[in-house]
Amino acid sequence: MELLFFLLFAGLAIAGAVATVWMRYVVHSAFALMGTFLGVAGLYVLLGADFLAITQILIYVGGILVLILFGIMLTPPDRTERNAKRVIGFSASLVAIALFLAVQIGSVVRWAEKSNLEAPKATAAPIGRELLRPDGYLIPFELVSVVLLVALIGSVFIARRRKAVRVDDSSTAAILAERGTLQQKAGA
Amino acid sequence: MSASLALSLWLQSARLQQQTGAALGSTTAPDSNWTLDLLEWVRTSWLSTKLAGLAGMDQAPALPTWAAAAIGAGIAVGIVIGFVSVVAMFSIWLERRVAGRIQSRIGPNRVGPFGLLQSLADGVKLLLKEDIIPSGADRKLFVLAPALVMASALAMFAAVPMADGAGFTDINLGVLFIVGISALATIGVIMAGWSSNNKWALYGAMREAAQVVSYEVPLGISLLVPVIVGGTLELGAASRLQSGWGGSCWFLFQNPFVLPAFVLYFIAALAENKRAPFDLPESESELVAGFHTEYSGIRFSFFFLEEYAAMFLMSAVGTALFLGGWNFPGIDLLKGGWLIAAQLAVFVVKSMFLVLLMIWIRWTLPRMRVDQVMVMGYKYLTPLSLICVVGASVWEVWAAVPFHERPIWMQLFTPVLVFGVCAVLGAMLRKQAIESAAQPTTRSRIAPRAHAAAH
Amino acid sequence: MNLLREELSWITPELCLTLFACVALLVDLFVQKGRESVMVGFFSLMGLLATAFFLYRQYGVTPPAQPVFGCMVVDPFSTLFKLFAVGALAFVVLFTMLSRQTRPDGYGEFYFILLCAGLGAFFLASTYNLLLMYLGLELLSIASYILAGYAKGNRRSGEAAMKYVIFGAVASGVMLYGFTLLYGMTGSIDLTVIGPKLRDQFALDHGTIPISVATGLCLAGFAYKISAAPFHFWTPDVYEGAPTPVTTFLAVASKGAGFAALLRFLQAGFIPDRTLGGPEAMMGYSDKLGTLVAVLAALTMTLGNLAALGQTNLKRMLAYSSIAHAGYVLMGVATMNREGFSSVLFYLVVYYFMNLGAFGVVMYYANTTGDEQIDDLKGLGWRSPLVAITMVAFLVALVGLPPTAGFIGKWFLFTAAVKKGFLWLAVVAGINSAISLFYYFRVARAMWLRPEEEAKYATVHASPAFAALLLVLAVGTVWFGVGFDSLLRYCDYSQNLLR
Repeated sequence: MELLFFLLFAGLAIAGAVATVWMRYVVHSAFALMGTFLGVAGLYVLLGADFLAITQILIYVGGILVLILFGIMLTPPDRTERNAKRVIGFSASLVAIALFLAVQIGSVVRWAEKSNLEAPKATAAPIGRELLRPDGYLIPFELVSVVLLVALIGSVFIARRRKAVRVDDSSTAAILAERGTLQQKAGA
Repeated sequence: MSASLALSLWLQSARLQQQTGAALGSTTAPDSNWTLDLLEWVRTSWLSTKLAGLAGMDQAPALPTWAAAAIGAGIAVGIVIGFVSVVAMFSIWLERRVAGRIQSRIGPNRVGPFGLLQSLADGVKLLLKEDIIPSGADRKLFVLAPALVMASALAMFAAVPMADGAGFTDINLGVLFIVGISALATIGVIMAGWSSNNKWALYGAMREAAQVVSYEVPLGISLLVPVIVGGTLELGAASRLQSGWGGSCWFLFQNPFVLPAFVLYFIAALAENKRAPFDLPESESELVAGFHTEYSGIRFSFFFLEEYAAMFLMSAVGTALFLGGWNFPGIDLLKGGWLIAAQLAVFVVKSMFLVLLMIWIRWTLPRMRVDQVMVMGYKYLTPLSLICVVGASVWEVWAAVPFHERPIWMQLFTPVLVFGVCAVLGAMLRKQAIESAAQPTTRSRIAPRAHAAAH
Repeated sequence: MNLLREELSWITPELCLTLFACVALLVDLFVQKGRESVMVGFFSLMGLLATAFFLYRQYGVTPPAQPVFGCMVVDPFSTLFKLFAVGALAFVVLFTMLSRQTRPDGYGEFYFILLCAGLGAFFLASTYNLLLMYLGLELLSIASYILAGYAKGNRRSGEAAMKYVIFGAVASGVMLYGFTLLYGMTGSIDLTVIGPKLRDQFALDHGTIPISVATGLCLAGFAYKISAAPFHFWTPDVYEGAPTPVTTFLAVASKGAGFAALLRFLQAGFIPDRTLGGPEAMMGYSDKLGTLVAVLAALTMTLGNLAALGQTNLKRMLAYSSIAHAGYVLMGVATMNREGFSSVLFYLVVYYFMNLGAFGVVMYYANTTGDEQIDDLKGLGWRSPLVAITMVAFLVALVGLPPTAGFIGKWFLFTAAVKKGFLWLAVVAGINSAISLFYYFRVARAMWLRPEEEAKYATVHASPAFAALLLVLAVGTVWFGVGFDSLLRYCDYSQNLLR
C-alpha cells in the first residue's frame, strides 16, 4: 500500500522533473513543475512530515509557481529558443544522472544510520517549539527573518518606480500581439 | 479528469493512513475506519454469504488491503462529489433567487418548487452541449485546466469536518491544508487563461494570479488568529473547543481581535474566490467572461461548480474557526444519530449563511478597479491582519489560561465589547440614514432619478 | 532565564548591528530632505562603533566552552573577522557618505542592507553549523545582489546585479547540495560532529568518492564567494558595474567572510588532529584536498593576473587583481595547517588596508571626474599629489614590495607553502607577482611619468575628510610592513584558539 503510493508520488515527481526539462515551451515546463512539487509533497506525507508537505504545496505551488507563471506570461514567448539546445541539454542531463547515480550507489553503504538520526518532528507543534528553543533553531530562525526583511526591502526598492503609475494591462496586450503574430507565422 | 481522480485518491490515502494512525498522527484518535467497516458489513451480509455459498465457500473472502482502500476511496470520492454538486447547485439557485429579489424581479421559479431544480436542468443542458475546443488553443492544457480546478475543490472538502466523528476526516493541519490546496485552483485558472489563447482569458488569468497571491497573505494571517486562540490547526478540534455554555462558546467571542480577524478573513475570502467586488478575473464588462471565456459545456460547468464549491468551503472554514463549527445553543441535549444530524445541519446552515452574505455583497457593491484591489490587499488587509495576530497573541498571553477556565468577567468582556461596537455602529448608520433621507438634495448623487421621481 | 541572559550577552555585537540597521532604516523617514546621506550614515557609523566596542570587550575574554545558542561560536577567530567586517563597513559607509554615485533617494535602505550584509558576514565567520553558515552566506549574498544593482538608472549596475544573482543562485544551490550530502553521510549539520563522523568513515576505509563529491560541491560554493577560479567569472562585471563603495565592500568584507567560513569548514571537518592521530586515509585525504586547493590557487592567481594585464578600466583591473589575491590567499589555505591559516589571517588584514585604499582612490577619482579609465589618470601625481602618493603606497603593497605590509603578508604565505612542500606553488606565485608589477605600475606611470600638459582633467581636490581616510589606510599599509609583530601575534592568537 505504502509502496504503491510511494511509486505514485515518486513517479509524479520524476515525470514532472523530466517534463520540466524536456517540454518545448517554457509555460509547459512551468506547469510540469507542479507535478514535481506535488509529488515531493506526497513523499513528505509518506515520510510522516505532514507540515512540510502542506507547506511545500502552500509555498511552492501557491506562491513560487504562480510567480514563475506570472513572469513567464509577462515575457514575450520565444518558441525557437529551446530546440537548439536540446542536444546539449540531453547530454548534460545524462552526465548529471550518471554522476548522481555513481555517487548515490557509491555511498549507499555509508549513509548515516537511521537510528542515529533524530525522530522526525513532523507536526506543527513540535516544529514550532523547536524553532523557538534557545538551544534549538532560535538563531537560524531569527536570522531567516532578517534575510527575508532584507530581500523584501531590496525588492521593493528595486521594483519601485519613480512616479506612481497606475497599474494597467498594456504589457499583457503587447505580449498577446506578439504571440498572435508568432502563431500566424507558425501557421503559415 | 485523471488529475482530479489522482488527487482525490491521494487525499483518501492520507485519510486512510490517518485512520489507521500511520502517517498523519492526528491528536484525536479516530473512532473507526468506516469504509473498512462498511466493506466488512457487506462481506458478512446475507447476499455475500449466499454468493460465496454458490461458489463453494462458507464465507466470502476478505479483500486485500489495497483493494479495500481503493474501494473505500472510491466511495469517499463519490460522496464528496455528490455533496459538492448538491451544495454548488443549491448555491447557484440561491444566488439567482437573491439576485432576482435584489433587482426587483423574480428569478428562476419554474423548474421544481421555487425553481429549486433549475440548476439541475441547467446542468443537464450543459452536459448535452457541444464540447468546443478553440482551434488556436493549447489542447492538453485546455482540457486539464477545469479538471485541476475541480480537483482542488474536491480535495479541500476532504478536510472539512462537518460533525463530530461520523467518519469526517480531521487532518491535524486542516487549516493549512485547505489554504494550500486552494492554490491548485489558481494554477488551474492560469492554465485555463493561457491555454485558451484569447486575450480576455489571459487578462483574466493574470489578474487572478496577482489577486490570489496578494490575498493569500491576509487570508492566512487572519486565519492564524482563531488558531492562536484555540491552539490547534485541526478544524474538528477547533469546533470541539467551541462547545460548552449551551453552545455559544465561539471563538468569535473569545478574544476582542477575533471579530476584526473574521471580517478580514471574509473580505480576503471574497477576493480569493474572485467574488464581487473582487471579480476582476472574470469581469464581464471588461473581459467578456475572463479566464473561462472560451469554455463551454461540461468544462464550463466545472468552473461554475468550483466557484460555488469554493465559496461554500471558505464559508465552512470560517464557520469552523470563527462561528463555533457545529455547535449551537442547546444542541448538546440531543444524543446519538440525532446529534450528528443536527450538527451537520447546523454546520451547513451556518456555512450557507456566509454564502448568502457573499451573494448579498455581490449584488450590492460595484466592482473595484485593479489597482484598488491591490491597494486594498497590501496596504489595508495585510497590516490590519498582522495587528490582529499581535493583539490576539498579547491578549492570550495576558489571559494566561485556556479560555474555558477564564474568570467570568473576562469571558463576558469580548461579547459585550463586540455587541457594544455593533450597536454603536448601527446607531450611527441609522442616524446617518435618517439624516440623508431628511436632506435628499445633499446626498442625491447615487440616484438622482429616484429622488426626482419622489418629488 | 539567567542562562538565556548570559547567552544573549555573547551575541551583543550581532544584536547591536541588527538594531542599528533598523534604526538606519527608520531614521531615513524622519530626516529632512537632502541630508539623508549624512544623517543616516552618521547613525550607521554610531552603530558600527558600538558594535566594535562590544567586539573589543569580547576579545581576550575566555570564550564560552559550548557554542552559544547551540550554534554560534564566539572565539578570537570569529572576533577577528567580525572586527574586520566592522572596519570594512565603516570605511564603506564613509565612502558612501562622500560619494555621489548612489541615488539621492533610498539612503535608509542602502545603509540598512549594507549593515545586514555585515550581519551575514558576522554569522558566516562564527559558526560550525552548516545551516547557520548557509543562512549567513545567503544574507550576505542577497544583500550584495541588491547593493550591486543599487544604481537603478545605470544599465551596468543592473547587469552586474543580474549576473551576480544568477551566478550566486547556482553557486549556493551547488553548495547546499554538498551540505545535504554531508548531512546524509553523517546525520548532523554541525561541523564539530561531522568531523569525527567523517573520521570514523575514513577508518572504515570504504574509499573517498562520496566524501570527495560532497567536499567538492561545498568548495565550489566557497570558491564562488571568494571569487576563485573557475568560479570567478562574475567578478569583473559585478565589480565594474556596482557602485564603487559597494565594490569595495564586495572586494573586502564579503571576500574576508568567505575565507573565514572556508577556514572553519576545512578545519573542523577535514583536518585530522595530528596529535591524536587520525586514520591513515583521512591524512591522505586532507593532503589531497590541500593539493586540490593549491592547484586552484595557482589557476586563480595566474588567470587573474593575466587578465588584469589587458584592462583599461581601473575598477575592472582591480577586480582581476582581487581574483589574483584570492589565489595568493588560497596558497595559505592549501597548506591545511595552523601556520598556513595564520598567514591567511595576516594577509587578509593587509589586503583589507591596501584594497580599501585602492578602491577609495578610484572612487574619489570617479567622483570628481566621472571617469574610471587608467589612461585618464595622467598627471594626477602633479595635480593632487597626496592622493597619488597614497595610491602608489597601495599599489606597491598590492604588488608585494618590501617596505609595505603586502611584502610581509606574501612572505608568510610563501614560507607556509614552501614548508608544506608546495615549492612549485611558491614559484608560480613569484612569477605572478612579477607579472602583476606590469599592470599596477601602468597606473603609477600614468599618474607620475606623464607630463602635466597631457592631463585630461583640471585639478581635483580631495576633501579633507577623504584625504584623512586615505592617509589612515596608507599609514596602515606601510605600518604593518614594518611593525607587524603585534598583528602577527594577534593572528596567531586567533588561530590558536580555533581548535
